[in-house]
Amino acid sequence: MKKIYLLLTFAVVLSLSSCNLDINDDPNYPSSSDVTPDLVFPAAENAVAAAVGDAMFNYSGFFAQYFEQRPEANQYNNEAELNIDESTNLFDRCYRTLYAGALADIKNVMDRVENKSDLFACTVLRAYAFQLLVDNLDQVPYTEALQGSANTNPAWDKGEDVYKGVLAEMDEAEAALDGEPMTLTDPLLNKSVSQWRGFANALRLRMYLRLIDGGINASEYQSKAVALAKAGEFFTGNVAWDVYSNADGQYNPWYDVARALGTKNHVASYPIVSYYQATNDPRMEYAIMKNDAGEYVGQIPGAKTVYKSWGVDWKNKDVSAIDYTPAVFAPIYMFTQSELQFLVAETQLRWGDKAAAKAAYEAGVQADFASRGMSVGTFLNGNRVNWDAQASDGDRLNMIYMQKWAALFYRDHMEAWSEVRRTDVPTTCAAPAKQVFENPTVYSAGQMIVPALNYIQAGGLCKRVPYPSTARQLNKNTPAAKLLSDRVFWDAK
Amino acid sequence: MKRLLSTLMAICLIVMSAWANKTVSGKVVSASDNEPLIGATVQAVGSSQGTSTDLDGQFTVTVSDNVTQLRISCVGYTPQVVAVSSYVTVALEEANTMIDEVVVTAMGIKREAKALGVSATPIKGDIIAQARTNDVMSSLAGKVAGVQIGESSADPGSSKSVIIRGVSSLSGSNQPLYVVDGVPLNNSATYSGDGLNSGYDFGNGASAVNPNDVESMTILKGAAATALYGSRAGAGVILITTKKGTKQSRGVGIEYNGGLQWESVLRLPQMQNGFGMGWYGDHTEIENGSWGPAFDGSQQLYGWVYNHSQNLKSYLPIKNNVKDFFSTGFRYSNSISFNGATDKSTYFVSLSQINDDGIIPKDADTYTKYTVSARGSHREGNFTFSTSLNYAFQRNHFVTTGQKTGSMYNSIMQTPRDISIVEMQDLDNPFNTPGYYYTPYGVTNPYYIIENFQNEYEQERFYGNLQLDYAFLKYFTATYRFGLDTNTGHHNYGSPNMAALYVGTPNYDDALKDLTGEVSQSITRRREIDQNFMLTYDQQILEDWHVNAQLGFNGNERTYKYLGSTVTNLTIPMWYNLSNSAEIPSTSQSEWKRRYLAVFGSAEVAWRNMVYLTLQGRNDWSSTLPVNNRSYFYPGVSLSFLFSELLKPEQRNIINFGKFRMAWGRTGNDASVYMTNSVFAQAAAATSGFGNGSSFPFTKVGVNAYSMGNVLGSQNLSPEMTTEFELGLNMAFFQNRFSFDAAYYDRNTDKQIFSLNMDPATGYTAQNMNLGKIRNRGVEFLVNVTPVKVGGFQWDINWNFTKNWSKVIKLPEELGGIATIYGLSGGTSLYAIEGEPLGVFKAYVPQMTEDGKIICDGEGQPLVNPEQQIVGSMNYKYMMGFGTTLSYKGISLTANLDVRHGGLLYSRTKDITYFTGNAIQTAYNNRNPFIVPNSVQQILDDDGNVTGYTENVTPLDETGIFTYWDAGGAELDRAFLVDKSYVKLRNVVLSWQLPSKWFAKCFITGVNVSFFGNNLFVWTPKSNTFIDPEASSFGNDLEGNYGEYSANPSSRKFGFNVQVKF
Repeated sequence: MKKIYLLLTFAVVLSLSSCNLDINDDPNYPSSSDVTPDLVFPAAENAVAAAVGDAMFNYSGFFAQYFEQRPEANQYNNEAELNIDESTNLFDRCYRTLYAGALADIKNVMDRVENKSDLFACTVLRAYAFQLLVDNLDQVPYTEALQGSANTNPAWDKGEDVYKGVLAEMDEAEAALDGEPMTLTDPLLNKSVSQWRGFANALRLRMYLRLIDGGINASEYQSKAVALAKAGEFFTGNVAWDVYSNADGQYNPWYDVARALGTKNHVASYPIVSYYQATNDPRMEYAIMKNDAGEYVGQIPGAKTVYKSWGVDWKNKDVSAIDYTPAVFAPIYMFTQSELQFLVAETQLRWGDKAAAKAAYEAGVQADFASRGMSVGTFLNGNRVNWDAQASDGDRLNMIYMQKWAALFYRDHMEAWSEVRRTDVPTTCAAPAKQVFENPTVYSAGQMIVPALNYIQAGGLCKRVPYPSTARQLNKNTPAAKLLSDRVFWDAK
Repeated sequence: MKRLLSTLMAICLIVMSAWANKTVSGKVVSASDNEPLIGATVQAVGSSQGTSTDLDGQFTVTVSDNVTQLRISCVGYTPQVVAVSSYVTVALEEANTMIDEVVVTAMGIKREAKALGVSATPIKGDIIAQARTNDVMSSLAGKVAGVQIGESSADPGSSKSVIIRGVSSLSGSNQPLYVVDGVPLNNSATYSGDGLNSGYDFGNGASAVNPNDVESMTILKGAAATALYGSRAGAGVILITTKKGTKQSRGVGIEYNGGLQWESVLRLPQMQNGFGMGWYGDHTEIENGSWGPAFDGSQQLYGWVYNHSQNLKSYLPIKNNVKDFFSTGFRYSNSISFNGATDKSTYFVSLSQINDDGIIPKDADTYTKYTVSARGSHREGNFTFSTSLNYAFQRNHFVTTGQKTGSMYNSIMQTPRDISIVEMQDLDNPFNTPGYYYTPYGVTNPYYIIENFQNEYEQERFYGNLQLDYAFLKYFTATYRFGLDTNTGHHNYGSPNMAALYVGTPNYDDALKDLTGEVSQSITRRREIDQNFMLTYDQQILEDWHVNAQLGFNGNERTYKYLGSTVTNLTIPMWYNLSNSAEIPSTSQSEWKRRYLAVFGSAEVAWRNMVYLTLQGRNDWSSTLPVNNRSYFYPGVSLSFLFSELLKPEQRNIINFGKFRMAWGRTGNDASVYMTNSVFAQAAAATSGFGNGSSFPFTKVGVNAYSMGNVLGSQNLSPEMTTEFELGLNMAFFQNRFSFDAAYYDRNTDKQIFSLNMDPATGYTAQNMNLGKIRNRGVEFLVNVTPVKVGGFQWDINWNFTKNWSKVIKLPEELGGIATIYGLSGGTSLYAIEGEPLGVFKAYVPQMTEDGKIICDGEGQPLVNPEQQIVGSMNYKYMMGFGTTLSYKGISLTANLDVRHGGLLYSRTKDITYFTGNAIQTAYNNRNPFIVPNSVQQILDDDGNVTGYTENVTPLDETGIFTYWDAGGAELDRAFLVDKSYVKLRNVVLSWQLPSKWFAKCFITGVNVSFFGNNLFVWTPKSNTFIDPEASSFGNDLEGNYGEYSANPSSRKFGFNVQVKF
């Protein structure tokens, strides 16, 4: 009997020697308490930058008619021919990155910090992210968003309400500032509270103009916009996510994709090439390459497969490719100084001081040349771009819009596309693509062209992106599907 | 514990049997060869007295006076009842049906199959070895009812999928637990996590078992049969009993097996032979598709210009272009074992080797395996010590699949019909190098890939056990068993720096500039320790009762460690070493550890060998569950009733066996590791879905960052519970000439643990939770018939049939009743949807009118229905197997058909051959303009509202024809889901046992020569002209049912084997 007990004890002791069951904390990730808000905030900045500088930069490049799909490759046929619906998942990754990445991280930081300057920076970044969401989708989850399992089907708020909501959030957070320095690690604006205020003001100006042109409380936002432009308390330089370098894992993410795809897919579109040519713009050579014949030739939007029926054997060698070199480790532009100056110029021209408008316009052009390492030289003397050479304020406004479009190329395509939608400048050529091709006189330089092969049934250009299919599948409150021709709330014209 | 022991002892004391006063001795031999049977059970009928035979088959037993009969039984033989006399000689016939066999059931308990109230299918070792497959599972495909065995890929050494009674778990493993000699075997599969881009599959853990070492296998199906094995047995258990040493008539028992096998490609897509290189109906010189004009025999230049010359080809199809690329695979294998035994000890030592080079040219797809096993036991008094030590080494080479540049099959499928693949073999020819290869579009010369890419895996495995048994107090045995299973795997991947090799070539800018080469090395270590302590009580009580009870304790720990490093931009273009770059390697690591403790018990009561009742229960404590839900209990009960015992002798001439059984049982299943907490992870963001991603730490600004994980952990997780009820009827007629076994089961898996996707607007993309309920109901039939048994000639037929109805009973309503299993982002995906079978595909289909016409757009192309539709399920409607054996005096011919009907799988091979215009379907209407059949166009009013339909009169032109097929034709994305029905001639074996008298005077005791063929033919529905529908690029579990992503083609195998026994 003794033996049995001995054996039993022996076995049980052996078995119990590793009976600690409290081993379910994941050793592959730092423990939550070790990850301070300081380590989280740059992740949120990066996520927002990646959304605007990667996927949006790419598809908006097609929508703003900078880019066209290279004839003998096929990656972006859908973007060029506007063959996009919810099944295309154009926006899904942006949606995930902005909400589950950026906005969730911002919320986590805001829940854990008390410093007012930190909270203000978080609020501004949050406003920027929501502005991007609204400009793409119009309606988005806002009041019920980011509640985790507490609300798995957040309601979708009207775009207008989201704009107003984040503007109010920014006002409140700014009013609460108490002069404390910022503590969060901030590669975007280097912890400069005044830069964050300048960024906030620029965002306000951008959003006010959209609200005004969308016919929402126009007079109220008009006076606010004028006040902002007059006060001139904006950021200096560009708001740019400047962290990339020429090494694997460190490239600019848009370039990284082009690199990974191997095959070149982007060529220059007809409108941007024709406008640069018409204005003798030296920026042509910044990212547009000559074709095999040594000329700058843009491709007519959506015409890649249609040229054949026009009697042209259209090949890669015939068209100007986009040069990826300037993008290798380029920063992601979240708000360019140049765009800001054009917004100021527009505000001053429409409702304020016209001399200030001219100064801002020229500063806008110069800022963009400077960001490309180019000298503006005599460019501004050109007939089409000279302030004083314009016949009317209407022409000047049009010129501001056109130069903004020219300046946002290879910088911030999302804003370029939004501003085209808001201002309807460049205007859309009335003639169909085939006529433009056959008889260029029906076309004025820089005009948008309705794609030759255009999957939008109602015709025209892309006015929004479809709802993400992840939202469609997982959130029963997702509104009914929209067409690409349905406009966002501020695109009233 | 003390109380239990004393209670059990009290029972022993009360139940004292009468003193014996008669001695019987005798010998038990095998009827077939007169060899003594060792360890046969000799039991007095109507009494508990009994013994077993010794190494010479001899026995001596003392029985009571009133005993008149002895029952002699032995594993694998038909028992006999003989009258008592002073010396009896008994020749036992080998069992030829399942009824008489003895099976090993839970925790190593041996039971006669007829006593079982649960589903346990025994398989003899020689059946497993007969098909001469590389691993133990492949040989069983189509042979066992209720078990779905599939080759997830045809490449040598790749993993096998075994699904018992349908998929029940959405997230956990659906592969059975393998138990070798009482110790769980790690069966994890090593396959690519990125099947879309670079897929590979280096096999699953159970492949380490040498098929020649297997004495028998038992497949335990229902929850009542498996519950004692705990959480991991929820998907069934495969018990493997290895061969032990037996006493030899002279010297050492030696068995040698040597075999050769050849392999050839089995299934390739049917391709059109009407059109060649080009696009949109025109000739092009650098396109990777066959959208050119009709073949006309003209001479066409193609590809790039090199040194003022260009390739020239006849514009004609090369019909066997793809087939000619593949070579004949070859395998040689050797296995030898030595065994023996003395009165007290046994030993068994085996060595085996397999070298298998598959159908891809060169040695790009190979599998090498070596195994060494040593097993032994020693009995000293009441103690028995036994041990089993096994070492296995494997090395695989795998040509990656998927869509990236290193995928050979992807390149082949994109070759125009008029460009010869075999002529690309000469890699010294500049036109065959990636630099001047005829197309830059993401593909390159397949010969270059197999020659210069490296994808190698090596694994060393050590597993085994130590066991101590102690028999005491006549009816008790105490067993302690220590099991260890440890392995180290090393994956070595390399792709050449083509940018450096081919700078300045025409493909450089478009295709090669960024392919700067990669070296990736990773090491994975796994270890499992399993300890068992068990107390067994076994006694015949009075005349009619028999009790067997067990009480046990089980502790288990599993650990996993991974360390991997990758570097790009190789300095020396094709030297695959991590030091070979000026860049800093990126390194990653991960690890996990989990444990559980368990107490289990079971008791079986038998009455008059007619009614058997088993009760069991187990309680687990698992580390992966939240503290409050850590402990969970699950019981089981089974009953079997041998109603044939009640029949009169004359009735038993017709119905010689009849059993009714029923069982109910539960199995709890814990969570995966680390699902209870949310984490922060190093931040990264990619919004385009291509590229390696640019992420923290950013060296330029020297900043690292962490982002809140997108999966919401849960402190409320509770174990998954599977409840299963089953009924069975097993009958045999006419001395087992006809028998059947039918079963019905109803299995419900409740509270599934799953990471459920959420709208990212919630701040998370998924949350861990218990959700829903999945039901599998099914029927299984097994029928054996021996229509002819004349003289030495015998013809056996067997048929098995399985039908499983799977249904997702419940998924949370607030989440829309839907969960994604696997899918292409935004494309065709596999889901669990409430009310549907588990694993339904949703895909984009055309908009249809109410009367079933396709609605086309202004271009004449089908309009996409913006909502994806359910288009079918991954599940077979039924599975069947047919087997037949003809045998005559040592010669036997066996053939097995495996039939699967219904179900869908995604085929990228179909997708890409539609894109390239190589598929035979794309030659529809000779590529002349056509109107989409049975289609209409919308009539729109001024506001764009649909007011009606008019006949579609817009024909598709040459551009439109491409667009149409590229999109999937009239079915759109639904087209790329292929019917996965098939009928396969799984194997044919012709075997000849040479007459032993030929060797009577030499040391050889037996020779068997066999010719075998595996996967000889596959028949598929007419619509599947593309793939062998067993293919999977996504591993061997639930996700593997998604389908294939340019998986390498399957092969047929044939060869011969010589077995010599000394």
